[in-house]
Amino acid sequence: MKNIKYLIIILGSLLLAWLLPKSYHLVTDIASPNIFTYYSSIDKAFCAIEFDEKEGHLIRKNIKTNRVYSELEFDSILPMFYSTQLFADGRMPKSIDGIDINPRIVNSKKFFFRVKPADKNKPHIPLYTLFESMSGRVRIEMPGDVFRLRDKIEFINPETNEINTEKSEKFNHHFVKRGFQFPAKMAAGNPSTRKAYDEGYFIIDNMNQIFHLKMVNSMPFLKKVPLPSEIVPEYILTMEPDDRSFYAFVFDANKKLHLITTDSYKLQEIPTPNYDVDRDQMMIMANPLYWNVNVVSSRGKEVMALHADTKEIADRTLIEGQAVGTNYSKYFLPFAVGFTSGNTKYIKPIIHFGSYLVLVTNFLLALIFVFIIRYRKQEFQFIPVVWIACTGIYGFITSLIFNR
Amino acid sequence: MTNALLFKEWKKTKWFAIGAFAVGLALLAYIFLKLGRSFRLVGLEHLWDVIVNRDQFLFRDLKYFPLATGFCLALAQFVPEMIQKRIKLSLHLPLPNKKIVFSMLGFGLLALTIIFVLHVAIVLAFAGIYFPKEIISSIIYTILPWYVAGITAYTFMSWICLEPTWKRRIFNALIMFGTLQLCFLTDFPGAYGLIILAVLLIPFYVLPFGYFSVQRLKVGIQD
Repeated sequence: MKNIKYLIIILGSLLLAWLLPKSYHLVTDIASPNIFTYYSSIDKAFCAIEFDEKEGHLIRKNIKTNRVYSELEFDSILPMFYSTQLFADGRMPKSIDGIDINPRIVNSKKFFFRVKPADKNKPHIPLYTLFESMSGRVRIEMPGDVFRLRDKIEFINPETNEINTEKSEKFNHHFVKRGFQFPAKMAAGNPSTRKAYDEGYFIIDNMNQIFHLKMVNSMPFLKKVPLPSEIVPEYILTMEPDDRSFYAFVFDANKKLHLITTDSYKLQEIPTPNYDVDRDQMMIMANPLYWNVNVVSSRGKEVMALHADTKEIADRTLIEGQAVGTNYSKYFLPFAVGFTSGNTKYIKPIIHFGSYLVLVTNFLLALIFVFIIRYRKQEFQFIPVVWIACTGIYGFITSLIFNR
Repeated sequence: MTNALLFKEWKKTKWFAIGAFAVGLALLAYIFLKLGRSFRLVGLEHLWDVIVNRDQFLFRDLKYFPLATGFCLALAQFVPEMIQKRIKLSLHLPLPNKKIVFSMLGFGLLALTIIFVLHVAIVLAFAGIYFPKEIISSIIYTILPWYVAGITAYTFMSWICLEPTWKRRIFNALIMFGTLQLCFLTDFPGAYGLIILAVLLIPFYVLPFGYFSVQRLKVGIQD
């Protein structure tokens, strides 16, 4: 009987450890300010749009000089970000830093690349669509099959749910010939027909080698990417930029970012602020002159401007995360249990511990509990008292309710 | 004696069990017809694409069927026992109380498991015709927490019905709603993949709670 009672108290306490902090945050959470930053190719400094508490509206300014700009001025200071507006107004300079600026160049070199932890940490069905890369058609068309990579590559026809043996053997033969080690650790591609061209997949094999897989004229194309020995790839994201200058971004085991270029698959390191692909968010806003690398982490927002051609650092700055009020919950909630997180799509238990000062609260609650059971004329119970000392308010509430 | 007890449970719940199975079949027939229409209209290649690359789940209509079945079976089985405290008669049978309570709960769990296993088997048999094992495994990881929620709902509802006081029933219900939420935290396909074994243990953890309330009844706690 007592054991069942303790099972109920444990379950009730854990539920409170989940729901009480959740309710507290539901009431107290406020949005942390997200400041837009972009490197100005005119001012040669980071410029930002932020909310001015005193003025009560958005202001546009140069972070280094603190000079405030009007909206029209700001367009001209960030010509690469507001290129469409400047071209439409006829205000775009003919050249910047000796580089000719025209819509074709800007559009082909301008891209946005965003990585969130939840993109990597999510359940994934390991089936992949391999398009024909040289169909001769303007529009990319669905190939009529998908492939899986286990101990070999197999193509499956969705209409019949059967394996296309002939195609599978043809591709598998190529994989074996090229030294691919099954099973694959990951395959990165962009399985969308809404893109200008297709570059297939970049696959990490079981020996941490990267292979480029495409289907060209219905034939397999598999090429090994030459990797320096110190680079152990962990995660790859592909992109098909308009200027066809690179294939993919590679995140390695040393938390460094590399670009697989279209120049014979040469790897180019992209300097980034400290970045953890499982916890931080990254955004690269590229233009013909500079790449803006933004990393949002618990430290705040770190921004880096890189020269677009050499990827050397032009400037960097840190916008520290602003304190969003005191979190009083850590003084009375000993820990918080959660099951969901913005960093993953998986459901899994996550525990956050409060301040050690909460032990004082726990001790007081245990003492109050002892007085209450004496008042109720119940016999002294050692286990619930210890439980309250450990779990504080959660154990206290459930022990009071379910103790009898 | 145990057989007589189980026969009594069967008499109480047979129409509900048969009805729940029939409703389940009707729901599956509706889902299969709807999917068959999609197969004809957009083709399987497109459906595979939205499942794999756009994280769509085709069997979402199943979500609350196990939960409702679990709730209703517990009500069908234990509400008659609690009317005029008829369960006291059962507890006077020449059998240990523990055996009586767990036989009743075991019967309900078995009936529910049979309905759910048949239901899932039909879903997987259908899915096996049209989808590869990778998609089937994602389907299993997605629907399993819903069926576990059904069994958990049954064990909690039995606990609430067997509880002799209304005040405690309310607290029991709060624990039930909190725990059941754990099985419905997200609709993202396969999101429970990492903790599916822990989820499967929830009903076993809750199962003895009913016996606790019966013991409270035995010692004379009442409103």
